[in-house]
Amino acid sequence: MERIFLPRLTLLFLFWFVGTATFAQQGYFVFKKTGSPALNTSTLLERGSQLLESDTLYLGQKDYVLLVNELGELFEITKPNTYAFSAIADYRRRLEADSFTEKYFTYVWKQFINRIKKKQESGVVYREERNIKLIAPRDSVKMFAPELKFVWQNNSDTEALFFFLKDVKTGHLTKIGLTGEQIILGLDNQLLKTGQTYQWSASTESFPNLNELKFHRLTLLSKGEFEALEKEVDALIRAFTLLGFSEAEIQEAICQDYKFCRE
Amino acid sequence: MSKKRKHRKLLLRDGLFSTLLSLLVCYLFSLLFFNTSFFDPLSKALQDFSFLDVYYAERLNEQELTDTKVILVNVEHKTRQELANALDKVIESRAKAIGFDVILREFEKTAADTLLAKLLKEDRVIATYIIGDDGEEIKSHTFFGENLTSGFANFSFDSSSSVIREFSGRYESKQDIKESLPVVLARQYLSPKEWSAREIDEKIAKPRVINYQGGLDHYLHLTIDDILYLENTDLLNDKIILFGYLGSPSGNSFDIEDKHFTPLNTTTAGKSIPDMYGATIHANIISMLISDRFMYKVPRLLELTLLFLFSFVASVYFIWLDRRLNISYRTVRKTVLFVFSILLVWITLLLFKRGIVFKSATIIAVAVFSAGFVKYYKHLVRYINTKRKFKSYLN
Repeated sequence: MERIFLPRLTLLFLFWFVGTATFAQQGYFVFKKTGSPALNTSTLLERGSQLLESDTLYLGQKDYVLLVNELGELFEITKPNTYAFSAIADYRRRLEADSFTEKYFTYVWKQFINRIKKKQESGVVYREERNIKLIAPRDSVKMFAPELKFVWQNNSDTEALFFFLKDVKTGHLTKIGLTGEQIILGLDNQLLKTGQTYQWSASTESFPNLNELKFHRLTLLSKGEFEALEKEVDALIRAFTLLGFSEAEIQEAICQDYKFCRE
Repeated sequence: MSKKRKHRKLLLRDGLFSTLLSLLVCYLFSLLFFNTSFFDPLSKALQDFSFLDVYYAERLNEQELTDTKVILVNVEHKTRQELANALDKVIESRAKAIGFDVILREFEKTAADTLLAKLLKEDRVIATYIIGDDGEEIKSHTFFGENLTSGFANFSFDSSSSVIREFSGRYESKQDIKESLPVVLARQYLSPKEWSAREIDEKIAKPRVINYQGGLDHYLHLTIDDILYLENTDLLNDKIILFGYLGSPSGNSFDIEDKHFTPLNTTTAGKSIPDMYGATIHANIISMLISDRFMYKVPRLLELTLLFLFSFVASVYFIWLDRRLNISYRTVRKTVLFVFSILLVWITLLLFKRGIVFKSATIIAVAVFSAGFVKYYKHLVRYINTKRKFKSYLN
């Protein structure tokens, strides 16, 4: 008896182990997401991305991710935090209890007392910018910095987009495909050189009409130009400081009016 | 024969006469109603209405796990090159079956077309076409292949209702028997052994009621960009991938291209906008086929028998009640009919939940009409009694 039982038990254990290992290997897939949840700090999660046992999930402010496993169970994570693979199982979305009769008679009751009232949709046409809004650096600014942070706001539904940087003097256009809402470029004397003027933009299209695409103009100051401008605005800064304005307010005012921005 | 027994016999006879007369009048009224142009909008509205829609519209169905076997890919308004790149990537994965619910009518003589033509000929790719009213096939340009593995995209060939409740898995043309896109995809997904063991060929021989599992959110749906940027295609392994239009952007409720009315529409009667994209309906049909969760219709004969029985019971009961109650008769009649209707709809929906399609709307309408007809039957008996003696329970 024991002789028969033991091999069977071993086989059962093996089947269980292989089964569990297979499901664990499959991991989770991103079913839905908002914001920029990341995997292992560097990889931005996209719909369909896979999370494996070795992965860690990072959620920032306003990030949301809905994961699905091979069985079709959903896991909803809303709070900003770092989540190890093993912790995700705790966020299983509970299925509604099956309460058919209760739901049916509630529906009948609502119909009976005429509680189901429909709101009339307002007949107005709603328009909003569903494109990319360039944020920083602002248009026509002069800057002096070792690296530049280009920031835009993506109001479109496309995540993947293209960053364009045009050298005004040579007319050379650089295109970089990316996701997210910013890119940092260093002054490497190749792509960005001091003393040069550039135009930059971002688009969801790979080949946008460059005549219609809105560009921000940017002049990179050389050290000499920067120091000369510094001297020019120095008196202004001192005057504003005496008037009680903070440094940040003064920098903002100079950047807006004189188009001379520090960052 | 005792007096009581005699009375009972008369009651049953009156019930039978009243039922037969009410059914005849009801039939005549229905002819008048459905054939008079004045009632046309009303009859059309009724054709589109079903009590069973309440099941989905009010979300009385059990919440289900997400179906991970079918993945939808939204083609949006992407270029043919982008479509070809995405299709190529999916073919390279270990997807089990790939449906391409897009008709490429024009040949644009581009490299993208050449690539698409090559990809559409791949074994696992199922193309699509539409069968027109006169049986002609509307398909992609011949450049993309004459004899591609394909399935028709039509849901049903019954044009009486604009709500997609049923699907036809087969279409018999003069030359051959054609299969729908979901059927071809499900056939590719299941092994021949599973297919025959589940007797799917027999089940789809006639149009079947669709067992909807959910809307777009019931399925993982990706955009062409998502596919192109997917680093790891493990997600697609052993799945059915269906390329189709799911709005621009995905799930846009105001975009009605390739969108249809389904029982899941929250507006069950009256004006509304279509609620489900064609590709999602196909996905629901595929889910039903591969999980063998078919709906079974109650035979018409049984429905007619029940219709007669309920009308008969209603007639007998209200004739009996008419003699017992005087002042409260109308109140009791209305209450009983109200409770009867609610309970029968409840039973209907409960059966629907168990996969049985029992159309009780006509039964309820006719039974209520028969109950109301008792009043006219009573007048008829009185009138006959003025001419000749007529034995009745109502005398």
